[in-house]
Amino acid sequence: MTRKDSDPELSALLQALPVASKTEDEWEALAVRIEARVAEAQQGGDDLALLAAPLPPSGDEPSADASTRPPPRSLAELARESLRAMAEQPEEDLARDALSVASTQRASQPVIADSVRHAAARIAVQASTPPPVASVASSPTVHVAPAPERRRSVAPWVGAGLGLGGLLIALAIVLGAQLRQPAPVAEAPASPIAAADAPPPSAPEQPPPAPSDPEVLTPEQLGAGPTAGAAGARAQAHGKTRPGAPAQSVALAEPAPTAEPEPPATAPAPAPKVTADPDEKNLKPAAQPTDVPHKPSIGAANAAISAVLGSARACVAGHSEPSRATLTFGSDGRVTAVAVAGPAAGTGAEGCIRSALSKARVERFASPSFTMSVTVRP
Amino acid sequence: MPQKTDRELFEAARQGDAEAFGVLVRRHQKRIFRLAVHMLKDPAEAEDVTQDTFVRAYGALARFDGRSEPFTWIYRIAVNLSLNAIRSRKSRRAGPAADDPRIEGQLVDRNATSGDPAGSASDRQLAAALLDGIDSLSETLRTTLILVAVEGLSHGQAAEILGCPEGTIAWRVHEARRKLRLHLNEHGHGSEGGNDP
Repeated sequence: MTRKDSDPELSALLQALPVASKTEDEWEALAVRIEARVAEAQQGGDDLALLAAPLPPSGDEPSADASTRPPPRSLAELARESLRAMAEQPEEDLARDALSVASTQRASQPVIADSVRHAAARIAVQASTPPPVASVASSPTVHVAPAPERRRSVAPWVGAGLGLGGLLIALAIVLGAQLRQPAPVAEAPASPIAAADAPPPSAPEQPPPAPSDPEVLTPEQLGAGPTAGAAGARAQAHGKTRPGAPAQSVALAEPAPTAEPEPPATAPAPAPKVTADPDEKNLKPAAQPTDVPHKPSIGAANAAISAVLGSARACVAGHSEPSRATLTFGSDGRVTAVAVAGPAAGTGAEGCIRSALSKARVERFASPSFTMSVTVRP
Repeated sequence: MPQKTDRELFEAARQGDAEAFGVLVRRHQKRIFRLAVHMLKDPAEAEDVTQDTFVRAYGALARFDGRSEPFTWIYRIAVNLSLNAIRSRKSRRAGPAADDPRIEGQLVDRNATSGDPAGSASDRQLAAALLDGIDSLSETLRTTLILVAVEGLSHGQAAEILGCPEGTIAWRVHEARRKLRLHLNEHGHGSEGGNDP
């Protein structure tokens, strides 16, 4: 095999090095001397050491000899071996692995909470109107719950692992909220997560609940948690909770966005009732969120009513005269009252109209209520 | 009359044919002497080693099993004797002497081919640096480099002589050349494209 000479100059120098500076006569004289000594010598000497390898390879010398190397293995062979090893692993072991991962995650709760807080802060800065559910559910997942290796035969275990990871994420969020005081309601309007991350000024410090405590979060709560948390955060930003209440816990423990805030299992005190009492507004910090209008715009109100007006018109089908309905919106954007006047009043159509128009929704606004009239034509 | 091969001469010498062994001596003494000079840096000591090599080889002819080439078998004896001589020295020479026989031999060879006496000074410096670099190598690297790069033996022949795999020889030669190039660069004899990776 031809070897590439990477330094021909050096090779030339080395090859030019050996020169036997003897004449032919001198060489012949040397040969004669050797023959004379050989003639005196006897065959069969026992100079075994001279016949041994002078410089055998030492242990620390690498060898490029292919015969001394293990045969190279292709990536495909390595992959097959890995698959065989995975197939030989019993599912019980996989289950133990999943549980081990879960326990490890539980053991590292402070780290998880930090990761969630950092992710929430980053989202709060980057997104002006982030989708609350996606923000809460997706971002921490990357940092906190690395998905186990996907395998064809272990999908249930993978799912279980992911579920545990999600459970731990939610748990970390709750713990992070309890360890930190929530922000004043008006300080974080843009992001529910950011609002939830702020510490409450007067919340009593509580020890974090045990991670394995089933009362902390049930799987049902976990599933509804982020959405409920967003709704709860909206409620906070809207100023309907007391500043001293553990707003974060309330927000994350709410089972559904449409439900009124309920006392969470981990909350130190029952959650405050949502109220529009104007006196309570005085308890809120002076700084109101700048992006919550005092009242909804006419366009937004018209759009909200138009969305449900078709259903209301169906209620007065067959009537000759239009009826009038007066809708009252609460500050949370929901219809709190519907008054029906005209031919539909006092008939079955009144309830139908009230039911249809009650589904209208506008954005949150600062004023306690907002009233708007609409003509329901047949 | 065709020349007898080394194996035939070996077999004849083993049967008591002193003349056949004399042919072997004349055929290989120059190479053995060169090897000894490069290892010992002393012509007189190298001549002694050369004589001893053939005498010991003759005495051990019965042990030659024929699995290797005769000349590599003799080379192994020469290397062992040279290493023994080096190890038996009380003190080694600190550096190449001004009258280092290897330098003189190289200069004789170069001037004979180039006919440039003016360049002898720079050639001497380069030769001194080269030999100093060879001497700075470990015993293992230096011996391997002499066998392969100076004597021109193949990796297989060097592996047979030194009793190690060819891959080890290749690594040793590469490592020795790399160190030698570094040494030359440090002494102002760098080459633009001559650095081994």
